[in-house]
Amino acid sequence: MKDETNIKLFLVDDDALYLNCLKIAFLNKGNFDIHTYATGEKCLENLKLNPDVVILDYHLDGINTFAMNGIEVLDRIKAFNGEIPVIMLSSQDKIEVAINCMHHKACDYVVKSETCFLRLNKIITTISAFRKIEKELKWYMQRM
Amino acid sequence: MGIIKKPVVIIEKKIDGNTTTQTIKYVDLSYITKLAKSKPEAISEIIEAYLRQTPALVSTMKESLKNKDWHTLKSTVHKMMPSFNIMGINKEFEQIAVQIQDYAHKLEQSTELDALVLQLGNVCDNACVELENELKLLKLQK
Repeated sequence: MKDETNIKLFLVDDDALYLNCLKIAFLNKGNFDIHTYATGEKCLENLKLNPDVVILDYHLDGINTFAMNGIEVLDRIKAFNGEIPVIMLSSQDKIEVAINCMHHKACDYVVKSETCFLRLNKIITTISAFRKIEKELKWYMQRM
Repeated sequence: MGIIKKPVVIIEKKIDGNTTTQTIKYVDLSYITKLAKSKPEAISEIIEAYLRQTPALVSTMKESLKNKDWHTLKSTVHKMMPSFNIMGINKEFEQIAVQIQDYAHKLEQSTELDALVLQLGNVCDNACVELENELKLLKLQK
């Protein structure tokens, strides 16, 4: 992560209520720079901002059938920069959906439930810790 | 935020002299109150998002049933479901949404589906009324 204290987080969900809840939940944590997008298209337009983590809804074409779905957006994010971790979010607690997301190189899959925010926070903490270790390893490797 | 147990059905009793009035409450704001750390502005923001979004979803749900557009019906109900947890709406009503999704997925039309859609619509409408009142109270607190 570029800034040790602030994680640049993209939240992408066409459900305005859930998007608001996610934003508030992460704002309360204090160390996030949050960007919210109601569509995958808007998220892709802003990828040049280089998010540290993207939380992406699976079913983005639920209401607007012409919108890109979550998997399409995931593929585009990975094509832009394969290093950006993308956490897929969905109301569906189905193994096939989770496997599909992982096949498309999602970092993780979280079901929208009561424990959703706790799980997301834990995943982001793990990603941060991993990135820190990677950075330190790279630093040492360069000096060998 | 932790895990919060949802009440079964909330019945508010008001005793006024010899008269007892029972009102069924459709929403329970304890989850969003904890999520928003009891900040009235944040709670209002969440309620406003629900009030902006839900009437349109209910309308789309009813319209898609009328037009036998099973894909839209399924997608719309799917979109409504996460809000039940957030707004503390009884799990039984969430099960109604699951049943509607199931019928729509199987491209089935039945008289039961009409009743389920009507019931879910009523729950959402009642939830909106309660939340509008809560929003007014929150705005008075500011």
